[in-house]
Amino acid sequence: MTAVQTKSILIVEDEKLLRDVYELLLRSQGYSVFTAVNGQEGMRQLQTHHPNLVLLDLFMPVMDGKEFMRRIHLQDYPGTKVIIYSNLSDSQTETELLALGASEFILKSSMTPQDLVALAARLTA
Amino acid sequence: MPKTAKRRSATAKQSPSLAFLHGNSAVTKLLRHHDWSASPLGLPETWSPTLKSTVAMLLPADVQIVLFWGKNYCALYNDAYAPTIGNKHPQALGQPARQHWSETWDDLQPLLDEVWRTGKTVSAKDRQFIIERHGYPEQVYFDISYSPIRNEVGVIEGVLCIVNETTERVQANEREQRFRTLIEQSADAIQLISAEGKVLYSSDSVKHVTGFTPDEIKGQTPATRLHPDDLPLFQARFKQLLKHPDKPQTLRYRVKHKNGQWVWLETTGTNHLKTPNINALVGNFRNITERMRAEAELRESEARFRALANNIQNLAWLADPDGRVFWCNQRWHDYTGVTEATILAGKWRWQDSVPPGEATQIVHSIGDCWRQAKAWELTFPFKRHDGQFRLFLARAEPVTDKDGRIERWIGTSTDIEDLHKRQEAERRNQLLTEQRNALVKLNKTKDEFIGLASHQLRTPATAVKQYLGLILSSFSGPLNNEQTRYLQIAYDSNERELTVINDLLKTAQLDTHGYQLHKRSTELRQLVRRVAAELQPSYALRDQTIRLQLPRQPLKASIDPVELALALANLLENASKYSPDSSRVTVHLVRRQRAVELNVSDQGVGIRKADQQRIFEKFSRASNPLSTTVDGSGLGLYWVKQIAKLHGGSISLESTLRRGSTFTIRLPLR
Repeated sequence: MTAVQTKSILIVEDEKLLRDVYELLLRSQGYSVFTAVNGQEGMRQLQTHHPNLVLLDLFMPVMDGKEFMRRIHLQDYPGTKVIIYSNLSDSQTETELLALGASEFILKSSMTPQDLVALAARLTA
Repeated sequence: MPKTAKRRSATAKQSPSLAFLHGNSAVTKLLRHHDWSASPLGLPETWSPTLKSTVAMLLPADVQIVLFWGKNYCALYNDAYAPTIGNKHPQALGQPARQHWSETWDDLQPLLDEVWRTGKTVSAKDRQFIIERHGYPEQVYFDISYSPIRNEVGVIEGVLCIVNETTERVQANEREQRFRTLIEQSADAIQLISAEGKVLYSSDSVKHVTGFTPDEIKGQTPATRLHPDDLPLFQARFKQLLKHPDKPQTLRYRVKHKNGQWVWLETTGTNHLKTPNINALVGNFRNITERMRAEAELRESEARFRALANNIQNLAWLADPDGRVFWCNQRWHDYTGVTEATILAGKWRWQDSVPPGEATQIVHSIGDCWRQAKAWELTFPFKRHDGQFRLFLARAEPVTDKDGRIERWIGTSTDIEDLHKRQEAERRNQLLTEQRNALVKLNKTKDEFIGLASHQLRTPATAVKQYLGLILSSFSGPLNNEQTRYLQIAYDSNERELTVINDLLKTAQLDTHGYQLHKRSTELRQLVRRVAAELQPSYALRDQTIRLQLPRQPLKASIDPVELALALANLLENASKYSPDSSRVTVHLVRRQRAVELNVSDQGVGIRKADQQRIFEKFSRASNPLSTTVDGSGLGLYWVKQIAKLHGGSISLESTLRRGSTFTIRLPLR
């Protein structure tokens, strides 16, 4: 696994177990990782750190992923890409989020560590 | 003394001094044979010359004469007088008046005394006396003339009473007077009319009726004042009356009142031309203008009521106070089929038009109202002409006169059968709606539960997957073979759990009320090819093939490609699972008139008829003789059905056991 020192990733995930495992995995790959427990906190981190990639959960308390996407105006962050990962995929939400600038839409439970690593590498290249 | 008197009496006839008792009148005979021993007058031959000559004068007279002689007024009278004293005669003859006129003595004595005392004649017309002459007191009337009888020296010795009984005349006068008064006082007027039609006599009351006094119309012809319209009838009846004297005629006609207005008269004419003392036609008439007006008003109001009643939608009826229906409106007749004649004849009984046993209940319900003249309202089945019973709401109100007595009942009956049924249906509908709403709510709660549960279940399972994945990918150092094998089992098991959870979540999503498809124009041949390609690897594992039968031209439809791909993938997975190795599954895409059909046919085990409907339900699985393991959640076909339904389409199945099944998704094209 090759370290890419300069890249940063923001994980927006309300579940601590998952937040931790993704952080662990991605740090091990040499990414600089920030975390947020909901969309609201995610927005602050985004404005502060301008990460190369956002790993965004959909269903969260306070502000969910959909609302996050509507508010951030992704075109204002040219160096940032977003992966939506969720438990639930319905085509309407998927379409809307892709239109708002999301790069990928993946089902959380089917994603393996290898998938995530490969995806992160591809999108931060 | 009696002995001597008897003897003397027996010889009296021969005595020349009895010559004054001459003649053959009944009283004279009595006097000749009278036993004078008991009389204060003594023997006739001893009577004073004045007495003798007075008796001789009165006995043969035709006028009623009685002589009261002496201080004790002994009575002597003639034949003409005898009947006026009835059964006092003949005992009173020669006896003191006080004995035989005892009942009237208080009245009679003063009269006699007055004549005796004053010596003057006392006379009176129709003098009333109360006497008993037939065993009871009687009021009688006499014209009287009481005069003193003096002897040769001018001394009064008796009172001669010349009387004339007038009782009959007085009573007749009284009767006539009463009769007259009655006639004059009555509202009726009477006229006597000659055979030629001229007024001979009118009672005073004619003034009340016609405004004219009897004198004003005497000799006139009543017909001249008759209303022209009524004249022919009047004349016809007049002729009838002359022709048939035994048949009185009654008729109504109008005459002109003195004040110029027409008044209605009702006259009963009787022919008394041959009746003695009348000899005229008698007309008894009265003014009935008010009555006619009242009757006309009543008729008009009745006609208005009936016209109104015939125009209402309800059945209407009138009944007398005993409850006998005597009139019904046309709708009533139409409904019941009972004719007006039957009603008029009183042959219809309401009891026959209600179901057996209901009559008692009805009487029980409204009996009190009926008796107390209170309005009532009741619902009961009422028989139609064809024998069918329909539910009616009947209402009745009593019509009372000014004294509160019931004159009649007015009733209406409204057919509420349809309303009743509608209400029943509405109640049923409401109940069903409530049940449905409850089920919808329950279902929603369940969907929310599944969604929440799935999310809560999946998060930890996903965490397990990620951590096990980290270890399995040697993230935390190398693993030996045994560790790898055990971890892989745990990982796979967790994967299966995630699949089940994801399936549940997908189901909850499709069930969610108001779930929106994301439709877009999609080329279906491409979609089918893509799904088939995705499944190709798993088919290859069992040497199975997918054969595609696709149209030559592109086939576009507005569908949700993600969901439809899911549906097709499920059908293909099933087809593979329930088919033997090396078999073939055909996907046939075809355009129909206004629909697209997607058929997936296999050569598999088939599905029993009994299971064909059930397999589209949640968690149902057809038995699979090809596999001993149970895999899948039993939700796939349910999704297919839901996805077809969300597209406005349908899913159907044709299957033969051991030959294979064909699933058809039919989607409408718009």
